[in-house]
Amino acid sequence: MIGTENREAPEFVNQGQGRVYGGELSGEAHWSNNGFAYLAYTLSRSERRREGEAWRLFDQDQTHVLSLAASQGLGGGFTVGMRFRLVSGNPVTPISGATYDVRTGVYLPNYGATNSRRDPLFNQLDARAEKEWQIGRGKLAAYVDVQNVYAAKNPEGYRYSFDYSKREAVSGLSLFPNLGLRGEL
Amino acid sequence: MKKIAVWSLSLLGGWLCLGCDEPLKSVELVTEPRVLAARVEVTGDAGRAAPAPGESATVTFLVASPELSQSLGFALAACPAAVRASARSACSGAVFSEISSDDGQAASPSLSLDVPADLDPEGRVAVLGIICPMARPARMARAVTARAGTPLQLELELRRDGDVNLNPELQADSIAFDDAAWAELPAVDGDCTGLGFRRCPSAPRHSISVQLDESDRDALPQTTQLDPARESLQLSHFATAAI
Repeated sequence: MIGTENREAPEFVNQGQGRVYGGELSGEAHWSNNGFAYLAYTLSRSERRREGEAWRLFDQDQTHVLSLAASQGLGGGFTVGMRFRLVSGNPVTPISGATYDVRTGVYLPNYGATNSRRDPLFNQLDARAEKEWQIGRGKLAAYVDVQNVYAAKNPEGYRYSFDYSKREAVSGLSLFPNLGLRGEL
Repeated sequence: MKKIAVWSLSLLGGWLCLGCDEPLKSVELVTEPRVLAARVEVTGDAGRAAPAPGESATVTFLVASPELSQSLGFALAACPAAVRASARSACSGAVFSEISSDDGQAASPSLSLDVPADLDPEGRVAVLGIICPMARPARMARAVTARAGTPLQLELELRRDGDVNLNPELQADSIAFDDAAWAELPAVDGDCTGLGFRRCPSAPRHSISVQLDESDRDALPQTTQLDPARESLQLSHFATAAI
């Protein structure tokens, strides 16, 4: 489904095309009853095009996705774990300047080729430590979960100056600790 | 085993700070040459801003700059405006007036245009171009480009029966600065003598007020009672040294 030229009625027509192709490799390792690791790598490409136009990247394309997760029991009810992700940055459409509309006093961004650039590589390490107690027939666990341990600044978008001559990346959450209790019967 | 409860406490601390970013550039502070406005004057009737088909007019762009004398190059073209499907202006017919001026040739960017007599009065005229501080614009067919410059667009309405668009004329005694009449402020001396600049006391905050009469705003044709009886005026303030 794509928008029509100049938003002419019916505004949206079913003339867009999309294709996705790729593959995934994954492996799992268990070195003890309470320790394991999981590694996965995905290579894919997601594209879209309008009729008569060349293929271009889809807005959410993630060409490379590398994930590593591991957990280790330490005895005494203690468990530690981590997750690391390395993902291609989101495709972005560059802005190469702006045209000033004198009537409205507003700068209109001049866009380059759709999704012709990418954000920097997304990377994030999360870690978790948990202590579990057996209480009668139930369990109680306290945990600390820390997302983005090394406070990677992954851009999730950009904000521009009024005339589009300056831009600044808007990053996602920085280091984010989370304390919690979990109970089971 | 059935999970019966999960409690979670997030330590947000100072990590979340949404909506507190400073703007990357202040829109009111002029730090480089900038087009701020345009004035359209019909030839022979300078008070009127909307030319009729067959009339001539001049479009002059107001460029503000931190420099007292800013050297500019520009290229401008006028054509019948296409019906707008977005905020972007475009031509629906051939260019009927154009000008290209190298750096420093003209005192201010302006275009004299002759509106074709057969143009539909219900349509608009598009003025497209680029203004380049200290640079030479390169014309390429209808588009104009330059290595450094501000592309601009302006759509003019044509004169229609019962809809008179007059240029506003602000008199000095209608503008007050910190409750003092603008005309009573002392003139600056030095390089700026005679340029109309006024000396203002240093203060963290100033106020500018403009006094208007009802008749200062043009009457508008009212198709329904909900339509405004008079035009609205947009006032903006800019500074080259301080906010």
